[in-house]
Amino acid sequence: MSGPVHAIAADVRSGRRSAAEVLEEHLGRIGEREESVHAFNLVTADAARQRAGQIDRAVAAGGDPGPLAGVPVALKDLICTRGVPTTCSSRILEGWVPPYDATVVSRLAGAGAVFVGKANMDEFAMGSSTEHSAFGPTRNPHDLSRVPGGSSGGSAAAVAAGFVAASLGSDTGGSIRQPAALCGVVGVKPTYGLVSRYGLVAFASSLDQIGPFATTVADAALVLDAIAGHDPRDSTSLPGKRPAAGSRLGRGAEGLRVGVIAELAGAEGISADVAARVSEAAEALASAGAKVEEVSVPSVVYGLSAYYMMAPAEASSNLARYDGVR
Amino acid sequence: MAQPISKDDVAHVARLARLALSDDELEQYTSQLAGVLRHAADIEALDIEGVEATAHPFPLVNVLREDLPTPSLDRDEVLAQAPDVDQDRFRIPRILGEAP
Repeated sequence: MSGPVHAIAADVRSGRRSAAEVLEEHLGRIGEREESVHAFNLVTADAARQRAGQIDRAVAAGGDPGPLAGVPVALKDLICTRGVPTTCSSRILEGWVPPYDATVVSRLAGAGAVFVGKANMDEFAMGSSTEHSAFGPTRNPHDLSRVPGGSSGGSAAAVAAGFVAASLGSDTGGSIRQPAALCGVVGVKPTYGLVSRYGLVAFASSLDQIGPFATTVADAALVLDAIAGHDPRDSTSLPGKRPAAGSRLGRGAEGLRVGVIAELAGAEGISADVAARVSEAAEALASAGAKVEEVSVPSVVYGLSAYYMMAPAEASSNLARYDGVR
Repeated sequence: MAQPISKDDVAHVARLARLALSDDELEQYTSQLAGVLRHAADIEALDIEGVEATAHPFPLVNVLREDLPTPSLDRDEVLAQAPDVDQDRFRIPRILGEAP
């Protein structure tokens, strides 16, 4: 089990390093590269320093701030933060300050995380490149001439650039998974209902999920376990307890059955490079002991068309409120 | 294939949405919206005879809580976000005219 999130939390909890020192290291990287990457709509350095100080005092007093003690985290700018502007990268919400925290925010705070800022995104999460933000595009930290993907491009870029150890994004039709892939980090769209959406500005409610970005699978699992769980304030939140993602790590691929969907191999719109990487991943899983087999899912080719029926219809309902009454 | 949406349709929708579109933008959005509508045609072409209607893959039911008072958001903090307030309420522009 490893990664910077695990390492920071272990160091801060044991007093080997202070949360303040960890934060300054990350703020330093933000100072060096944020102007060219533009991962953030807002960097809350002062509030983060106060919070890191609190965590260090708790450790000094013999307390345990939690499994994410001192871990610098960025939040996609459609996750409500009490007292901190939440813009959805749109001028429609300019000047609005949420009077409450999203459930994921209070859970991360309860686990000891330090919020560093609000991450850029495609406006109201509509886009796949983070070029469509009212505050300007985010660039891919690996190559500034390329896009970071989207809509959670700021969250992915912030982790890839080392500005934060982990971040949260939201995924309706790929908005965590695709920027994670483009920025070379780990991103998870959790099972629907696993993570509360209370305080998430909605796009398409039957598809939206909040999920983590990190640099390793183990780190992403740790953040996911901190935000997952039933919330009575989200009526689609799954009741009951579920096994922690972290408890399933380290078992290897032995005994796993992996299906490779036949209809997607060579499908229209898939680049040869991507198809080759998918084959390599299947081969890697097979040589690690998984049983890899081709499966047929004939309806999968209608997925995109079904998405284009449902997502815009739900977005139209959800966003009508910003149109006012006329 | 016939265009599923005309430039006039797009101009009409733009007027309803109070959007001023240039002629180039009208062309661009007509072809983009036509692309979206072709997705509808793909779904419409499916034979769904005998397929049960599915609103959601999970058996979701309405979730209701006990009707008991619980703490809610701070009224002053919420009202502080309003452009205009009258006593404890949001004040908004009049939307219904009075009879002349």
